Amino acid sequence: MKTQTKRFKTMKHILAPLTAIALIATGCDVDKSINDNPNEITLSDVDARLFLNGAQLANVIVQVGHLNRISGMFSGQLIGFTSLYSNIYGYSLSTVESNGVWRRAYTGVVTNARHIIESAPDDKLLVGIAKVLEANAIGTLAILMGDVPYSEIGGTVDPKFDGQKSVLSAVTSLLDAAISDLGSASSRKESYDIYFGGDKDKWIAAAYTLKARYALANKDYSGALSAANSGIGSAAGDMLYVPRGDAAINSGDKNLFYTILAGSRTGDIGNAGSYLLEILDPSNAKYRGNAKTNETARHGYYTIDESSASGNTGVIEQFEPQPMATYTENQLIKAEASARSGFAGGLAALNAYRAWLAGGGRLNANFDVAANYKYDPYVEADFEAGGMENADNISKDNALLREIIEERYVSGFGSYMPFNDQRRLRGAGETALIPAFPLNTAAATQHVERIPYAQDEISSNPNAIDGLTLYDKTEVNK
Amino acid sequence: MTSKVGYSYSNSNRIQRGSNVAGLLLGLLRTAPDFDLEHYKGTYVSGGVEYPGRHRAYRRYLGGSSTNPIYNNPLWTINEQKNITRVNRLIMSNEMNITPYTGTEVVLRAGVDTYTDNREGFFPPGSAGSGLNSGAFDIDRITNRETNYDVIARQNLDLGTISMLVTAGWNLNDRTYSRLSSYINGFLVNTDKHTTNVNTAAEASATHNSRMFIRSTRAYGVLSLDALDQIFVNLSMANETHSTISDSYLYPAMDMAYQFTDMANGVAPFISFAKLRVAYGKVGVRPAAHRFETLAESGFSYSSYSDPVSVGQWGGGYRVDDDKGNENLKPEVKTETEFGVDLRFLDDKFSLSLTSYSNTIADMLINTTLAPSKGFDSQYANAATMTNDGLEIDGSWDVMSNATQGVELTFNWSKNDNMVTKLGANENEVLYLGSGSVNSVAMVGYPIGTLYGTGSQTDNGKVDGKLTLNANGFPQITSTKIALGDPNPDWRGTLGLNAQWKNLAVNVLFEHSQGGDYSPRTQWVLRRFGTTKDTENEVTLTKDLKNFDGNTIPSGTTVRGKIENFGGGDVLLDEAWYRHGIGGGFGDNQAYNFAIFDATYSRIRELSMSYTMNSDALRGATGLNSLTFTATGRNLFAWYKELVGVDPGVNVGGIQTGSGLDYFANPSTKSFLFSVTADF
Repeated sequence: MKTQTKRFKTMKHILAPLTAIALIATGCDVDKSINDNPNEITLSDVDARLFLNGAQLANVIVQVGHLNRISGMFSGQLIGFTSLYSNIYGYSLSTVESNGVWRRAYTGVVTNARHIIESAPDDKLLVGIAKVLEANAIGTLAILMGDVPYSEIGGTVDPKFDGQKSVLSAVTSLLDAAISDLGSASSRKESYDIYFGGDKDKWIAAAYTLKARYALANKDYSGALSAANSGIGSAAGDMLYVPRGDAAINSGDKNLFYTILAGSRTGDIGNAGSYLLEILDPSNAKYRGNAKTNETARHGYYTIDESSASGNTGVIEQFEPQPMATYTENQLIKAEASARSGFAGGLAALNAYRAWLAGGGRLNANFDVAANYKYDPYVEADFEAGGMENADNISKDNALLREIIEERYVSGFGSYMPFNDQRRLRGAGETALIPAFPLNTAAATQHVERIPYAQDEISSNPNAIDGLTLYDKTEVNK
Repeated sequence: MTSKVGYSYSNSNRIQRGSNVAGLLLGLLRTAPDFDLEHYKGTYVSGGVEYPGRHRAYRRYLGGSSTNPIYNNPLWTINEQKNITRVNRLIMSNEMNITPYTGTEVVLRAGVDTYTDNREGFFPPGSAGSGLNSGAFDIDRITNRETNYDVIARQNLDLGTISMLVTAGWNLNDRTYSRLSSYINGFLVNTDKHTTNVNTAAEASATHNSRMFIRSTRAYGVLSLDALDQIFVNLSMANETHSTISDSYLYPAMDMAYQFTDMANGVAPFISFAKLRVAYGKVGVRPAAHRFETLAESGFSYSSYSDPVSVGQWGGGYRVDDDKGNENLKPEVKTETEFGVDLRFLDDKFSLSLTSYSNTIADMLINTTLAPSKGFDSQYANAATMTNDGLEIDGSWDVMSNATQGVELTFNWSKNDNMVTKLGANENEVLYLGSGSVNSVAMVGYPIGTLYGTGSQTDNGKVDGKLTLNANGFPQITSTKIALGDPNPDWRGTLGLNAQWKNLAVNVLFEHSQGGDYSPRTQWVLRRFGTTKDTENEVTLTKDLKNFDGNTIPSGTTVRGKIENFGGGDVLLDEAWYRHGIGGGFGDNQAYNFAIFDATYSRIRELSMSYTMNSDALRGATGLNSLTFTATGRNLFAWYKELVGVDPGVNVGGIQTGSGLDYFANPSTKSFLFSVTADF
């Protein structure tokens, strides 16, 4: 009995503090709102237009970033001198190099373009712009790489890889939808549209130029011509990445090539000794100039000083724009597509382009010295056997086409056009039309046919296509 | 009742390290060894105009017309750049003990730990790197406050041969963190004053803040039993609630020990102590804060290769955060079972202890990489499972001890086998744990930390396969990254010696790590700069050989490099291989299977000697009881199986889950410490 009482007392002693603790414990549940993110803003609180410049900057990376430079090295336009770019130049290229551009296309451009469309479905200007951006980014990946994910992207399942042709057709339809949206929109001053400032007509023209680009990739020449006829009609309508900001700042808003050389990559990549500069150099045996053509100014403008970013006053000067879709491309699509259906149309389109070059073309103020360039109109005789553009006596039509392709090769510097053209023409069996840029090493035996998929997609998406080499042709070029 | 208050102030100026053109080792090792670094700053004169304060480095040896040195002169890094941290910290704790009845104890504890961390980074104009070259000044103010409250009640119960201790407790922890950063990029004036007045143009400055709030509570109970002084049992249960998890979680744990000295001694008289241990328990790790929602992110930049565009320089703007939110976060739970035995022999002269453990870490919290085509880059999720099995043995031998002399030997041996058994949604998933072109990763079916990068094509697709050579007899890189090696050692051990003779004491600790791989990319990259032994070597060809570019180098030519046979006949490794091929240099397009080495090492981790003066003369003269002088050397001697580059023991990311990565990391330091201890 005594023991029992003692035990009871002990129990009482222990019960008091335990009860107190139990009460505190149950009474102090943690408030879950503490975990609301204090730093980032709720999506629905942000105006749709504020997502525009971010998506456009992501698209800049897709269009004129790392893969663009790599494509230039595989087209005789650029040379990797040392470090990373030198082994890529020697064709040692892994899937890792595609990560940056691939991510920016899918997460930077598409996710945000679709968010804009979802959150402002009635703002047709924004909706139309968003669609063009998506079509631009995905279309670029499809042309460079072949089959890419599209119809199932942005969900929770692992997206399948759609055929290259079906993706190009899907983004072409998206451009049609964009053209229709933009047609019903009104232009307005839109500072977050860093490409065109809210000018719907420029967007519509750019959409047509992209349609023409995709049709051309598919060798649909009449489709390309018809789209290009509504495309960018003057350089004022060029879709460019135009650097801006304080000259003291080297990165973040400057010409991307300049930024690379301004940091630790000085000397890594440039174009001294490239086939492109050789054919523009009046003192070189491969010079493409003739009695009607003087390329001195363009040679100077295109020459990159890889040893010092600030030493550049031409094409990679820190404020120099970089091309994404331009009058140049549009007009030269017209020229090629017309030439394929008739000599006269092709010649007229080429001469129209040369007239623009003769007015200074893309040259900046440092190189726009009239004495250093000349682009007189060609006449039919120039392309006839023995003419100034037909020393090797091929057919007149092919001589014109060859000249147009070479002009595309030269004028397309800084864009994917030279890389895309050579693969298309090789696929079509028209290798004689391709500018004769050499392989980069003696060990190489063939030219590159595609840019690899991204390592990040391969390791995270079981549907990803793995095992292709640089030399496997994409569907449109087979 | 007791109260303690501690205040500390510390400041430091840290050197820029690692993969950083404005850092110490990049600039130092990528400079020709015979270049005189001494005059790192001076006046550049061109056309009669003087430009003072120009940075002189190997690639801008006159200070140059360009202000970009490409890599810093290391003396500029040390003397001109500043990276200052000043921390004020206050720690306060109060504890109250109440004993209402005999055998009952209630403890109330309240504490606060708060600090302010002021950081300043100052890069004068001319520092290397496109973001620093025109001058950069950043200021960070970090404040952190952590408050902690405990209520603990203990009750002793004596039930004859069984004694019992019951503990119940409750804890509340609250943390508030705030960071405010401002940044000036591009100085109008070349000055060394740390002021934002170097450029007050609005577009030259940026500001950024971030906050974090976490609160958690924990209620727990522990029941400890001691029966017959032979059986010891602890049972516990904890219930935790965190602001970062939707639901609360329960963690049980149990351990038991059976001391069977008497029984063992009866069987084997040389056993003087014997104990068996068994333990089982679960512990949780809470998720990081603020990860539930997908929100709008600003201040981002995009880059594909050293070519950033930053939205802040384009009028601000937003994106859908590429890190997808996750409202289903749970704690990561480790469940461990452990068995052990502790034995002592011959009157405790020898002791031996064995512990075998096995654990599973489920629902590991990781930043998963999402397939970009799903629309996001990453998601923080409970996505991995990992297992560990290990064995630890340690023991000691009291060789001799008496009043004036003593010698004791100790040893420790351990091994751990780790395996990642699940990761994300698909089996090819890779989780990056470090950084760099050879990274340390988690992959299903491989131990954590596996070294991963591009390698050479082989017949079986694995690093140990037969090389698939090109027509000229050279390896070809893989198109995707592969597992290259395992940085985890097979086992580790230490041997220690403590000896004392009169007033002199000696302490030696020897350490050995057996096996494991490491990737010395410092050396790999330096091949491209021609400052390694591989590239210094000269060889005269006795037959025509092809180099990596496919060019034939004629017999009789003397070149730097060496002749190698990858299995397809002799080839020449020259500049084409080391400098712009796949056998040296930067980036992800390299044959990194040749950059993996055995990390086995031994070292004398610590060697110390001390002498104690406690003579009467000293006491009389100084009033001190004793005076002890100690000299300690750390990391004085080391032996490496394959030392290439800096040090297999370092990791460029410092202490992180990834390991085995050497990329211009500062080597482990040798240090000498001298101390004097006075006893009053």
